[in-house]
Amino acid sequence: MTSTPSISIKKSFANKNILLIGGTGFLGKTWLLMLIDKVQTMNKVYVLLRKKGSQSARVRFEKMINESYLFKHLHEKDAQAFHEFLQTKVEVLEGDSTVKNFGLSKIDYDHLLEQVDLLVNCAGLVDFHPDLRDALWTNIYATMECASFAKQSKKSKLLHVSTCYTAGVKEGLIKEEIDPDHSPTGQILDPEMELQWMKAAIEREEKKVAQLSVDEILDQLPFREEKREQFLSQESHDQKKTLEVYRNKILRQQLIGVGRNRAKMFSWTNTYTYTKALAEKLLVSRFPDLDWAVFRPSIIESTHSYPFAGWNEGFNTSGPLTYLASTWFRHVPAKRGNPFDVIPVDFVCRGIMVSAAQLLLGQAKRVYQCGSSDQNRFTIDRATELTSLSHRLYYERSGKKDIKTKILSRFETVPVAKDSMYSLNHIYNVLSFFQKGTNWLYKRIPTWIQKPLRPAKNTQEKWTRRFEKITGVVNLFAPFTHDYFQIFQTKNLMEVQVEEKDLNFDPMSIEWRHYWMEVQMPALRTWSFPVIEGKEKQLYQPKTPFSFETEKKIPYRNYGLDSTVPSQSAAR
Amino acid sequence: MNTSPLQPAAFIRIEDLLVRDAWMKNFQSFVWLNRQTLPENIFYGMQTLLSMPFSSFYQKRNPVKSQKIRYANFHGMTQDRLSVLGQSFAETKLKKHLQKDAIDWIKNISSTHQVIFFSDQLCEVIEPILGLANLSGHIISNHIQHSQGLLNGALQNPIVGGEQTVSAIGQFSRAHNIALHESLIFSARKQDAQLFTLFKEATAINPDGDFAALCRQMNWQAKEIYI
Ligand SMILES: NC(=O)c1ccc[n+]([C@@H]2O[C@H](COP(=O)([O-])OP(=O)(O)OC[C@H]3O[C@@H](n4cnc5c(N)ncnc54)[C@H](OP(=O)(O)O)[C@@H]3O)[C@@H](O)[C@H]2O)c1
Repeated sequence: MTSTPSISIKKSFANKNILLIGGTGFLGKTWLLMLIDKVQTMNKVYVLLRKKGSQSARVRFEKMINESYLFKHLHEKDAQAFHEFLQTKVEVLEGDSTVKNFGLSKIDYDHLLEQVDLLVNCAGLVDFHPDLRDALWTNIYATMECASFAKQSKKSKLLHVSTCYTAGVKEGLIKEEIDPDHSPTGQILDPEMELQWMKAAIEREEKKVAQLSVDEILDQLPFREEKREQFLSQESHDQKKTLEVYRNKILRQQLIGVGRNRAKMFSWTNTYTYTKALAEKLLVSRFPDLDWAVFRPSIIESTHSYPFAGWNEGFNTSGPLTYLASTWFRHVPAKRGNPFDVIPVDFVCRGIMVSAAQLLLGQAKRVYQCGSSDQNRFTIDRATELTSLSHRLYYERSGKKDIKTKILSRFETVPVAKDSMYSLNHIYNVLSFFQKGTNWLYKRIPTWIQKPLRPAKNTQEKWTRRFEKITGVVNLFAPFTHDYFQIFQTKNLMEVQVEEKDLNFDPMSIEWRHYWMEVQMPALRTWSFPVIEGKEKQLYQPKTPFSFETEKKIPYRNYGLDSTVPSQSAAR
Repeated sequence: MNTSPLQPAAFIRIEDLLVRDAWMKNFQSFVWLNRQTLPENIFYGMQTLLSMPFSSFYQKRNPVKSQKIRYANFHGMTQDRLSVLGQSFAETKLKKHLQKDAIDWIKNISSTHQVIFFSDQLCEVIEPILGLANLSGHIISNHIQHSQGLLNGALQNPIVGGEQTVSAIGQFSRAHNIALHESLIFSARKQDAQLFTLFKEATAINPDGDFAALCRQMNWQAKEIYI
């Protein structure tokens, strides 16, 4: 038997210059931490960040380093050494990957082209059903910008983070490959033509909405009677502004629908996976000779053990469903035995390390999938049961003795088929049937009766909407929990032997009961549920906050304190 | 072959020392009331009710059979659920009955000896009890067989219970290089008398009339711990 020679991550990164895009995100941030804490051997890390409101990229970066619990141990271990390391090894650049040359000045861009050995693109729009324009810019154009950077540069390679769910509705073993001209179900699909179609569809919708009359606009809004009254009571120049807001809202809604339908037509589960998949296909067709690799994680969840067990960013895939499971919600659409491919974010970062090292060594494969279903399967029914059991222990330990808590602790969520009579869809159908009935009646009764009944009608509408929202959330996750049996092959990561054991991708070491009960659920309670409940996010406060020393700046570099990045619309 | 020298240890039976056996036995009904769905609760509840008289009937006559009947109802349940219910049972039902004096006394023993706890109960109950008592040591207890995370209701060998406890402890001590004839044993069960004879020093906990008499006769020590 021949054994694959092992690689050293530290050696592969030694003296290399890395450009990271998406470093403020859940994944990007954790990977950046691993890079500066565990790898350390690189020469420089350039972090490209967008400006947000009045906050420059530099301020955003400093805030992230100071306020995220992720970096707590580095502040506490040796704050001075940590700050010095950041000062010397990290450079923040203000830019936007959807804009040509990342919106950087020519001098900065050329500097990067010369210096960078590896671009890691962690940026992405992870909203499942976004406005098609946003998805197109962030998931497709930005990826093309990254590839174009690598192509122009002398030495840069590209590691692009995509998702396993580009597989769409395809079931069974999902291999680590990209089919550039077919949809998941094998329909012929030309990614370039698809791009053209998207642009045309966006223009068409923009035109359509621009031509809507005032009445048509008001008719399409929720709570239309109230909105109409409000609108009519406004001054005329306020009305103009309000109309613009409404128009934009309607356009967004339309474009969400357009993306959703197009994705469905070609057998993707949502606009997110559809646009991510198109970006992969375009990499194949437009950059066949470039040194790039696509890195596909499955569902990324809380840290397993690094830097500590149970950290997450607040928003993650399992958050909303597990939250619902702590309430009176009872039936989750789930098919027993279906893999629930969850992978802790620190394992994903290890995977990125391995594939990035392979790229730097010139040994990379085109696609690396990073999940658990291939090696250490966790099923949706197991996740559902563990979630309920965890809520049970949580309620029992809360010490509350009231009847509601007692019942809730025993009120377990169970997996049900989507077409079961207990499914949320059915309950929602019944509710909206009543809603339609009352609407019909309401329109036919005299106005003097309508008025006093309006509050009751609004309450009913509010509840139906609330239920619609919950049903929407549950259905959003149905592709992961119910609809498809997918196993994501992780051969390409598994076959790499890594010298540094703490950077090795080893999904077999996850003990699911322990992870779900002792790590993931407490993490969701600490970081995600408060966000869902609209509470303030917990922020860390270091004793000595980090800030870049301005005098150490390289003179030509634009640190974004007063720069202006061309906006998306300007670039369009 | 393992050639490291044999070590002495202190074997401690948990029942009626750390917590009353009668309380622990309620685990079966606790589990029945806590299956995942109402139909399951009803179905396994009936099964549990039907099996209870049989399990009690065999309790003294054939403890292993009694245990087998008791745990057969766990068939079809997940290992995850059993583990969490064990934890929940320990926290909500047993914690308040833990014997403080016994805990202190065991801690004392563990400062000079390697401690091995043994019990006829399932490890899913014993582990959290010891955790709640802040005690650590090896555990010899029962496990239910499972396949792919689902329990089949049968106990794994070696079963801890009745006379078979002797062979369970024997197997464990061979695997861990423990010299029983150099070790201590503490138990509140008269049924462990046969086991006592294998140890260097045996101590009966709260022995009642019969057991106390046997202790005197066999020269075993007796210890009163309020329970
Ligand atoms: N989370 C998951 O479960 C999951 C699973 C599979 C794959 N992935 C993939 O992993 C990647 C990262 O996901 P995540 O969960 O970390 O997402 P996230 O938390 O939403 O972060 C997205 C990051 O992308 C950046 N970004 C977006 N548009 C940008 C632009 N135009 N220019 C520069 N930066 C931009 C954001 O920067 P700002 O701070 O400026 O907004 C943010 O740093 C994505 O590609 C996603 O598709 C995620």
